[in-house]
Amino acid sequence: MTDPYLPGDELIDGHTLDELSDYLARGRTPADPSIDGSPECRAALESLARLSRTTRDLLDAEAEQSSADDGWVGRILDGIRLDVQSGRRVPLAHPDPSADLALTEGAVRALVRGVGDGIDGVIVGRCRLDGELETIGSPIAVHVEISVRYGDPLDAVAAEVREAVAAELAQHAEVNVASVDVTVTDVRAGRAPDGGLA
Amino acid sequence: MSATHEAPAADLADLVGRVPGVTRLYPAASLAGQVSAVVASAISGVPADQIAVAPGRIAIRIGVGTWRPAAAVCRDVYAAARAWSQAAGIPDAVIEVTAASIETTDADLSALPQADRR
Repeated sequence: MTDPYLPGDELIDGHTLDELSDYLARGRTPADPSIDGSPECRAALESLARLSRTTRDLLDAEAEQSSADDGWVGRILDGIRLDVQSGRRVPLAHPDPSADLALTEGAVRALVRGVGDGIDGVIVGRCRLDGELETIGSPIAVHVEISVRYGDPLDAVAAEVREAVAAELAQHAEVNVASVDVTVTDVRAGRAPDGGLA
Repeated sequence: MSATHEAPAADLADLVGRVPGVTRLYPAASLAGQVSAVVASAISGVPADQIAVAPGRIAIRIGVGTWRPAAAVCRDVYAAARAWSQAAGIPDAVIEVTAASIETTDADLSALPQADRR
């Protein structure tokens, strides 16, 4: 089903996810300035690389079995494609009125994704920022969808994501985070102690 | 008014790149940047898609790392650009600094999963 939030052209600054993942797989050579010079493409590459590390573990464990569940991987790829769009400007306060300082919404979402992905067993599927982002001090509601490894305590993982995201947003973007809602959308297989799939 | 010979826009790019926490310069993408990039290139020798300098406005787009707060990095870039603009004879220019990426990790070179790629 087509996601109504996804950009219609399915492109990230002129490139498809396939093109970006192929570029990553080639070791980013030959260098493509249209990719390397694009913050949206770079954010997608970062997310794809983290996703790759997780799915590689699964694929190793599955050996000759079927590849990683297309469902959750696909949902995460959709989320990457959506989240890296530059979006709105998130202004930063400055006493000089001739200073126009901001972060892009895409940079903020990529930060959230990076923070979530950095937590053991978590992969962020999607991040959404609701509120008047373009108004300094306006309360913002953050919605994060995550995939969690089977066996991990969902409540504890969600709480860890919530706290880490709020802390990083306060530090880097200085936004007024009113809430961080974490939804576990997938529980995926993980490695068992014997190295197989749990 | 344009950047002077004594303070070419190339120096601004260098200054910005030296601000702790700045990981890269992105092409200026704002309207001001699009309009002024060619002018900036002509007067300064800076590549047309780098920092955009126009009469009354300077547009800078950066990537930042996470080891410093992104907001603090933006303010330091602004301070560097303001000092440059004063030396360049455009002290009243609006200076636009946009952090377009906050890079939590370096993308590695590994192959990607083939599942449901589109």
